[in-house]
Amino acid sequence: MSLPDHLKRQILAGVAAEPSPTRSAVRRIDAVIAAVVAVVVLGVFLAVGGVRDSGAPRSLPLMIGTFAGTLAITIAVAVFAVRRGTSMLGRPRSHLLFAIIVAPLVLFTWKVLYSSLFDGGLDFWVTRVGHKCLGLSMLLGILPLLALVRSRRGQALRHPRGSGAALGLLAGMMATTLVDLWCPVAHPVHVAYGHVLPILLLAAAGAGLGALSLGMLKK
Amino acid sequence: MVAFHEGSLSAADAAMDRYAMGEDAAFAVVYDVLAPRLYQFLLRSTQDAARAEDLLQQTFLNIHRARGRFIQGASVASWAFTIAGRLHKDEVRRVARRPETNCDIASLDPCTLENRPDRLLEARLAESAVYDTLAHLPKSQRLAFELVKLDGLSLAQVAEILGTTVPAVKALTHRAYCALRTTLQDEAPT
Repeated sequence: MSLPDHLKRQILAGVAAEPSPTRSAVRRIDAVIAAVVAVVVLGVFLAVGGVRDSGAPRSLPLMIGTFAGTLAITIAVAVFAVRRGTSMLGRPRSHLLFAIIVAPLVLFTWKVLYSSLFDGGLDFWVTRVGHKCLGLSMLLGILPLLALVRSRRGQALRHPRGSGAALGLLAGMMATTLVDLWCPVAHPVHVAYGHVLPILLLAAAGAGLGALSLGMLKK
Repeated sequence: MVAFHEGSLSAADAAMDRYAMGEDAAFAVVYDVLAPRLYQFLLRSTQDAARAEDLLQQTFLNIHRARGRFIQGASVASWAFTIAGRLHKDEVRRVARRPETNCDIASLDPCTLENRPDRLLEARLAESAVYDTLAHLPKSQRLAFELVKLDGLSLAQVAEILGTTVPAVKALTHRAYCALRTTLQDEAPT
């Protein structure tokens, strides 16, 4: 069962004939894409109104509190389910599943419970069912999702679908963190529809994209 | 069975890291350390030298294409074996969907078949009993046993490939080993 001699020459010739980017080139491209995505996302966020506290019935501590909680959950998702660590095979299935199930629940619970501590924090707004928050979250999350999936192509050999869902979850959490600065409503139905649902939709989109491109690298 | 030496594995990791940074010559080092084991693994999986060679080429091409994404400090062996396993799985699926019907009679070597000695035949039968037993084991036990005992990967690397823990790999390997021991005791002449 010895290795045929011609094989090494053949493989080295095949590799030489097909250029592939080095680590520094990949990092440069990723950095440029991340910068462009950040500028576009922040541009869209500012164009729709940016941070909104004046005129809205929510105090600064309420806004800062919900924003800080959402940001903390986003960072936890990034560390627990998306960070690559020292494995080329992607995160374990248990980490991915845990993050995908728990993060949206924790976000919902945090936003509703913390808002309930403030007068009128959980009021229902007839004119703010959540369509705008849903749309804005999807708009702000889709580009980061595409950029994340692109940067992880071929790097989740074990669970491409689950890893894609985790990337969608992270993109959704990042979008929700921004939307949280924009939206003063914390009624449970609004939060579930306008803030949590887009995260789940982006996770589902991420799962689909992951199945297509996070597994084996095709030529 | 020749086990990986820790030194050669870390040499492969270091070489892959250099390759990721742009040192093209380092790829040959990665090939020299990994190719024999990967080929053995693929040959065992496919039972076909030509397919094993083809999958080996694809495995190294995949490593090459993703070299810029290789994480410093990661195990190139775990990565390479996972790629090889995936490629084989994909091929099995493709073949199952579109089974091959043609048989290349010219590729059969009648001399080799005629000259096979009886002892070799007995060894083949014993080997066949081992592989039959392996084939009937749960997939996780079979893979853990093959990767640790036949391909010489470390428990940590196999745990990474299977997405489990080192104690779990130990338990899987032990169970497979017990099943094999029982089979071989039953097969042994009395």
